[in-house]
Amino acid sequence: MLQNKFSTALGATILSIAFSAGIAPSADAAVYHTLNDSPAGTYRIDPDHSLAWFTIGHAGVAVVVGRFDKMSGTYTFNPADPAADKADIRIAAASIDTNLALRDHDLRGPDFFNVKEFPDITFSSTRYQPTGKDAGLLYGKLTIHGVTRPVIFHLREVGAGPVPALPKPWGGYLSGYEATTTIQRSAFGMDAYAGMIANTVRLHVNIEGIRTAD
Amino acid sequence: MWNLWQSGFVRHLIEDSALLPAAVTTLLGVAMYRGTRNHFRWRTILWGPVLLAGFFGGYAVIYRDFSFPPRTVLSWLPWLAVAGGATVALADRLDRNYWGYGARGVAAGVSSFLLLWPILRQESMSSAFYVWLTVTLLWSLLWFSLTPHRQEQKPAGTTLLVGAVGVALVAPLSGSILLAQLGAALAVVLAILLLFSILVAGSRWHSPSADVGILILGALLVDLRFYAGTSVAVMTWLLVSLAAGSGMAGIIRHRGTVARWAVVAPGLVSLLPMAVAAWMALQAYRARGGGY
Repeated sequence: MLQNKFSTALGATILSIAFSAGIAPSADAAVYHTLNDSPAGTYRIDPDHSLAWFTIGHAGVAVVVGRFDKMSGTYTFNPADPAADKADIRIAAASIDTNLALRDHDLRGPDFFNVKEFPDITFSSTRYQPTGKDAGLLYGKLTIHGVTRPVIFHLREVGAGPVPALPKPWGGYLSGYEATTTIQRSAFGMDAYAGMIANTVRLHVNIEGIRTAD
Repeated sequence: MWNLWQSGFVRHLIEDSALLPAAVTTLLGVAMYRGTRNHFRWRTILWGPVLLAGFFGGYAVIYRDFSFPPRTVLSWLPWLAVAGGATVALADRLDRNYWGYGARGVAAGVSSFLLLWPILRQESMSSAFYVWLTVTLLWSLLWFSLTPHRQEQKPAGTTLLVGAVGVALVAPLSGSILLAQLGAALAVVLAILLLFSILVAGSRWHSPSADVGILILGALLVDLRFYAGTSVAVMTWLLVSLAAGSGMAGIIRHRGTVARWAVVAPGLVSLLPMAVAAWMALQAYRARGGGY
């Protein structure tokens, strides 16, 4: 009896110490929520949490999805001064992945991205025009396959704020965006297999950045 | 098979690669034949420009890029063929043999440098030099042996025809229908020109007839190896095919045979190694899982 009382008291003491030290999970920490702090600052793209992907019509019957796994770059956003906003992104064309190695090999070859000659896909913004609290139009120059064309990305800020433990181990101030645009692949000199693969390509870019300067 | 032809996609590939180059070559060939009835000397050197025009007819619908300065490696193809062909033709008009060999060596060296530049710039100096030198030497040696100074170039044409067919067969198995189409366009043009020149009297091929074919085929082979990633083994058999054809042409030249079969024989000898190259490419394709 005495032993049971002692065990209960000891358990309660350990739990109270754990909660007060923040070791045990609190109800608040277990719920996912978007951070809504200021996104202002200059950020380095986190390649582990960023991705560019695309969808394209295939054979007139379906939509195929592909992605680029390697991305780097920086961006600067300041809601108080949109004129100074800037984004520079570099994507390794060879990192294309369409879930089929043979097709990826062909896409890296002379008929499409020709990655030996044009290893990078780049985007450099020219201006940002806010259209809402967390959205705007990002104008810039997109270079694919050595051809540079002006494009407009529809940009949405997903969230921003301090995140403990990310990047590992001590955490940092992060922000994230998703951007979409539509291009014609023929405008970038990639018009092979026109009868089998659609000309219109929908591009999606999901970015997470680590703030490097305010 | 009929279903394939019904497909607009396949039909366009065939039309672009074969029908248009064939039409351009045939029309120009007939026009050239009629226009040179009283000028046989011209007939011998016009095969080169007709070959270029026929191939460009295909290139214009397949790749459509005549930008200058060239935007991509493949965009260099028309300019290299024209400039290289003109350089060789001028050098061959000079009295000394070494001008002709020198022009071919320089054209091969410059062409390989320009075509390989995107790769060379990523390599160390020594590695880049080694790659460039190897390609230049192979290209030059094949060129020298295929088109000896002031010799009939028609036997080289049959060897080049087999080489172009080889590119057309190997390239799609290596992932590039584009290179296959260009190889097919070159093969169709060469086939029609050879047919013309074998049937028509006074139809020796003088410089730069086969020379422009060597430039175009060389550029396609460089692209096939370095940009489409075709294996060394397959490339070796394609080169062996060209070397075998030039060797056979040399033997026939040495024996002084002038019969019509002597023109076809180098191509026939080239066929077997070319077939081996295509078979190896097919095996590699199957090993990767085949089509999709």
